[in-house]
Amino acid sequence: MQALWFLTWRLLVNSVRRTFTNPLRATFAVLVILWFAFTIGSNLFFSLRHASVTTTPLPADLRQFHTEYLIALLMGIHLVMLWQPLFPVTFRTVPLFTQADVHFVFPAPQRRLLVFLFLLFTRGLVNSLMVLLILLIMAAAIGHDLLASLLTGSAPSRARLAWVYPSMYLLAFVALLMAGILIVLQEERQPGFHRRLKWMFWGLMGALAAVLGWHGYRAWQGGTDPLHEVVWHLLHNPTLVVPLFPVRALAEAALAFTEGWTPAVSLGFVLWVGALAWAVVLLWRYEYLLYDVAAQIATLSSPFALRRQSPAQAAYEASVAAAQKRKRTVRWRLFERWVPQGAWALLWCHSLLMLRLSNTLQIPVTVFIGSVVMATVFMLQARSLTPSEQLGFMVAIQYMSTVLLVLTTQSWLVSVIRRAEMNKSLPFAARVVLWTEVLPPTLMVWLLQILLWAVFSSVLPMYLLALGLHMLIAMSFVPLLFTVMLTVYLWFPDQSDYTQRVLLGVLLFPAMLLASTPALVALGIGAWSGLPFWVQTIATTMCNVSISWLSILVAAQQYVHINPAE
Amino acid sequence: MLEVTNLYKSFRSVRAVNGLSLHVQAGEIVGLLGPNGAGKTTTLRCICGILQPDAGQIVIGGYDLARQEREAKQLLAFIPEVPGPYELLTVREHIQFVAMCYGTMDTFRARIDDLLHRFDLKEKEHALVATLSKGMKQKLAVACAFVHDAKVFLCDEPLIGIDPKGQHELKSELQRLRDEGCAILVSTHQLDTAERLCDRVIIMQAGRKLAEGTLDELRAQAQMADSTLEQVFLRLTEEAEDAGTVVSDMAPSGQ
Repeated sequence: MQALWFLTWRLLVNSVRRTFTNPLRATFAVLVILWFAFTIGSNLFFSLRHASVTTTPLPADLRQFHTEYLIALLMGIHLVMLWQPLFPVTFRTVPLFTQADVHFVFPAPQRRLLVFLFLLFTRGLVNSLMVLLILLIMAAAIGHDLLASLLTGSAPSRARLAWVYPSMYLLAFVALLMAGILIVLQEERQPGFHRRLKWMFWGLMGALAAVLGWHGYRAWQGGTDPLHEVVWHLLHNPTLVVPLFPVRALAEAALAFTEGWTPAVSLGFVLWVGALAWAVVLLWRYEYLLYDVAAQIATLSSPFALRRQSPAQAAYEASVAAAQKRKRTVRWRLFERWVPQGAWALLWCHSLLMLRLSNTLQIPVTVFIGSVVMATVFMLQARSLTPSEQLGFMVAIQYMSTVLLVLTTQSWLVSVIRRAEMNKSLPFAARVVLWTEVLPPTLMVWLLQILLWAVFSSVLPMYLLALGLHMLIAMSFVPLLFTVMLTVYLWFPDQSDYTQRVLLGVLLFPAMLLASTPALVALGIGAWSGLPFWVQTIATTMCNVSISWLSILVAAQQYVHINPAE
Repeated sequence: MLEVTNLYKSFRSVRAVNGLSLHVQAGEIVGLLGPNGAGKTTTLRCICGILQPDAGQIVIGGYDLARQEREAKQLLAFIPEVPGPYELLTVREHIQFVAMCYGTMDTFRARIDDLLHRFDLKEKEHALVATLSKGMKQKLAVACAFVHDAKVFLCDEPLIGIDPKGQHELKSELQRLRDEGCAILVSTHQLDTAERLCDRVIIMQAGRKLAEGTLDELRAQAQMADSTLEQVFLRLTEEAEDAGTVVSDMAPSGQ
């Protein structure tokens, strides 16, 4: 154990040191630290000075939300956040185990379970801490008075329960991470297990959606508020309460500092501690297989050169090749028959990769279906709204889904970096290579956007054109967001470096916001000056295309020098 | 010193090692040869405890790997084919970390300078591993294998990526270890090296042992007197491939 503590500590220290040897990363690191110090620090300082005066520091706008609606919303957010570790695709981006562990730790005379749990906890926690760090930033930004009152002990008694949520979140995150490991392990023992589990999961989600939809529809027929009915059933109908309890407990824990300690919080702790203990017992039972699983996960997040070396990967590839000879599974005939030349060949290759990585498509399609369901629920409720207000809902969902769809394909960007070594040797300019990397996910999101527009237009046919123009604006943001994200990823390419991961997490959203600003300003000026909407669309699109082009040029500069291991 | 009996290992439906048995005595260097996908790396990974065999027994220095894992591993040193060391440790820290893993910190201070000099790593002692060349990383992996008193060395293509001087030194090291009574199992594609370095050779194909013995014994088996190991190897593997018996085992079930 002492060796592993030494390893973790030195990796952390050297990671910080390395950041300050690279001028670009050092600048960003200093900027982030200064931002923390001057914004949050100064807010907290002034709040602390006046803490005795501030006796009711809870953020007022939180009180404006109806508690039940807020719980339902938080349940939805947790459902999206927490089921991700259950899908092995997560392990492609989160380097829980590395080839270095396989080569140097696993052959050493250490207890397998302890090594496995140590690495899982320390590296998994870094990821979950990212979410908590973002929450802390938000809390410090909007609730610095509350933080100050907590520090000085003058906070209301309920506010002292602010520790409840981070604790339960960490418990849940680690328990689900272990569940994800156990799924990989079970898949090794019984091939096909993961597919069955996935069907069960989607079956359960489908059944829950059907129950909610049925109650919403009945409320709509009966002339009552369907959204309220849906929320009521979500929180009180036993058929829904029981399967959704794990996220309900987290949602109530998140509100403990305003709503106090509830029975759901107590039961939630029991449930998640129990889940964690059960997962540890199962891992202990299969201790002899843990290194096999860890070696396989290490392969998933390894550069290609090391991945090829893994016998499991070689055998897996042999079995895939044999299976493809035996049975033509999913074939993309159009792409396979196309015989492109030059850079088009690279685009063809990346498009095929994108299409064949079913896990890359799975999450965006889920977001798309979620957007359609959400729009339907709003439509059911919107009987009392005017058509233009309904248009507002649709447009909001269209823009929101654009951002969500782009965010869900981040694992693609990680694979872009892993492919860099191979692609850089090809006779193309870096910007050309990057366009061929950005276009496949862009086209995929565009396709889903067009589908969404078709659904919305069939509901509101009189706004076909307006919805179409909004769709074009939303579509112009897609390459912009991808290129900006790619640029930030290229600045911090090493996902096994703790400092780089933190900086990436902190800077990704501000960078996206900054890049979107010119288009948003153009849109604002257009609306203020009363320009026709098609002119605003052209202006916004032009802005986004220009910034995307600039981002690619910046990214290309970085791409030329990229060395993930540097 | 190393005894492997009826080793089986599959990855899902692909059988990578198929009932392999081998032994390496103290003071012996045994070469493990075979075409790509023969199961050499899987065999070595099973022996050093990274992969769990489906069946079979591995005994190292009298300790059963399944039952006395820590005692058995204490006697082992593993040199991977393309080492992926911890990029964010310095060279010294990396060797120190491995020493800590094996609980040999008491001898580490006495050994570290010698190891750094022997493998040309002294100048890079405080450099991050990420800044090393591929060959230097390989030398680091070799240095890590020498940090504790191992009795059994498992080397997976140990000479790949190392410069000629480094290769010469490593071969001398392995010969010295053999003279000191260590058992060494070397997987390699460099047949001329295997011919000069190894006391005995095992040829694997499709997870099975195809042939075993000294060069003279293999020549006799292949009926190729005065031939090189390369010629013998090609004859034996091609014959087996033509016969089609071993190759079919590599195919997924249902084929």
